Amino acid sequence: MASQSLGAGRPWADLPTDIFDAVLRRLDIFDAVWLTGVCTSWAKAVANNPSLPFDMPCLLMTHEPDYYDADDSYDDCMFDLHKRCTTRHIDDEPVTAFMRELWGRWWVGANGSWIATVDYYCNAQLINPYTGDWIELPPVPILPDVEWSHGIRCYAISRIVLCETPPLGSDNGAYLAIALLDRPPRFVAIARGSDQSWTILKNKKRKWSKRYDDAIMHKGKIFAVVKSGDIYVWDVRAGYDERLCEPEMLRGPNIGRPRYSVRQCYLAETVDGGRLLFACTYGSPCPDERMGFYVEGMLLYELDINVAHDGWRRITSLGDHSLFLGLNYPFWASTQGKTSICMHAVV
Amino acid sequence: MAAATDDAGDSNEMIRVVSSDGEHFEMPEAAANLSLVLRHMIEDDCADAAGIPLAVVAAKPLAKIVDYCTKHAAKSSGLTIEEAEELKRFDAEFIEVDTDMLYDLLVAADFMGVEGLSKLAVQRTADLIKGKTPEQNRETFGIVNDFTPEEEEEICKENEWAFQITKPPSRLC
Repeated sequence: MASQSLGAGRPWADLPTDIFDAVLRRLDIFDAVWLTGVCTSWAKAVANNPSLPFDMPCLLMTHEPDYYDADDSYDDCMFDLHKRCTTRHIDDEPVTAFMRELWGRWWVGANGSWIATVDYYCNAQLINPYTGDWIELPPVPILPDVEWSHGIRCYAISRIVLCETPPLGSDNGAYLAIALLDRPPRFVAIARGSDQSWTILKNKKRKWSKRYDDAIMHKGKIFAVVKSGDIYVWDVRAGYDERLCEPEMLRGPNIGRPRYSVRQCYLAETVDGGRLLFACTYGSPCPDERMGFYVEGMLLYELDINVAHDGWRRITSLGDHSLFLGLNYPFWASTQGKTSICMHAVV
Repeated sequence: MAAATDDAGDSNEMIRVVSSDGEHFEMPEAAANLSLVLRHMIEDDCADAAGIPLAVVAAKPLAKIVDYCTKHAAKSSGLTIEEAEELKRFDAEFIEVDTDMLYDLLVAADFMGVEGLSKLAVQRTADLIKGKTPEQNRETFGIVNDFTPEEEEEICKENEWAFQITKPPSRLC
């Protein structure tokens, strides 16, 4: 106890957890983060604080445009993101934070503390808003049959699935990213740290005009799902060689005739990483297509890809976990002791 | 009215408590009732002439706590604005203590279940922490920096965003 405190002073470093948490609730996020630099036990106490749902702080991003003062000198905020940092101060409104690095860019994916963004010309970057590090992702290769728009060869990366993030404090930029392109030609491409270019995962079984809904890395293979629920699988464990690497096809679960006119498929892994998860949200169209659709329900299935003839199993409960799907890399959160998250919710 | 008379009757009785270092203190029952632990002991008839032993509370903080409870019990209901302000001033002066006493009060109020005092001490601690760098906080609370240079560097790097910005500009809030 006394080892961490000076002389006759009180053992502040070992302040009981419930008292420390009470103090923490009266601090804003900046002071709380500063506390992590005081000593190892306070760093641990801040990290273990149950009122913080995830690794703190949480950065919640929306697609709303930034609002800014009319006399603000910043131009071109139109496509910028409205970023909200949560604070743990219960009575306070969340703090809105603007990130200079993200002006003029869209966020198309995230994992851990890294955000993947693209600009209008499809230049993709990984940005770590906490450390300020950024990594330029390789350019998208130019294909002969790319559609032209306004005189430029126009792609649109709708999603970057950040499977592996660069390790903290290293400059080598080791990452693994999957890009989904959302304007014909639509394709799946992967890039690893130090690649000079995205590698397009060829797929002769499928027309270039068809869209991929989601993709994920699972047991060393790339899985990409399409609207019908079918999944294309590229084995990239021995590196990618396009001559060998036409995908296998994996039939999706039989979800019957879609009851609703629109749906979106997602892929994820089970908490232990052992099985592949297939999620499908369905609903009815929203008048403004850019807003997505009104989700009215979700179906969830799992499959062990290593077991031959293993069928998809319907999942109806996630136990004491929540699953988060969307632009962010899918992640699980335990709901034990965390009142802010609903039990077995898919968000 | 009847209830009020009863309360007044009860609070005439004095409750004895004994600190970990053997000092005896007395306070009105209404004051002792502000402590959840003491209230339960009184309700369970454990309060006798020998006094309730408080094994983890030393004499110095216990004297302060008795002081706090006595003041707050006397002014618990039907406060005029002036009295409320006076109580606020009392609290502000009361908690102007060094960090050793603050620590003892935090732990003792938590142990004894004196809610108002817990809140007061927690708020004071938070106020001492606010706006300070890790080094300043170590100095305030007498904490030894036990990070290895590598760990410290990593923490600085991870939290650079917060270490550089003290507060977001108010217009963004």
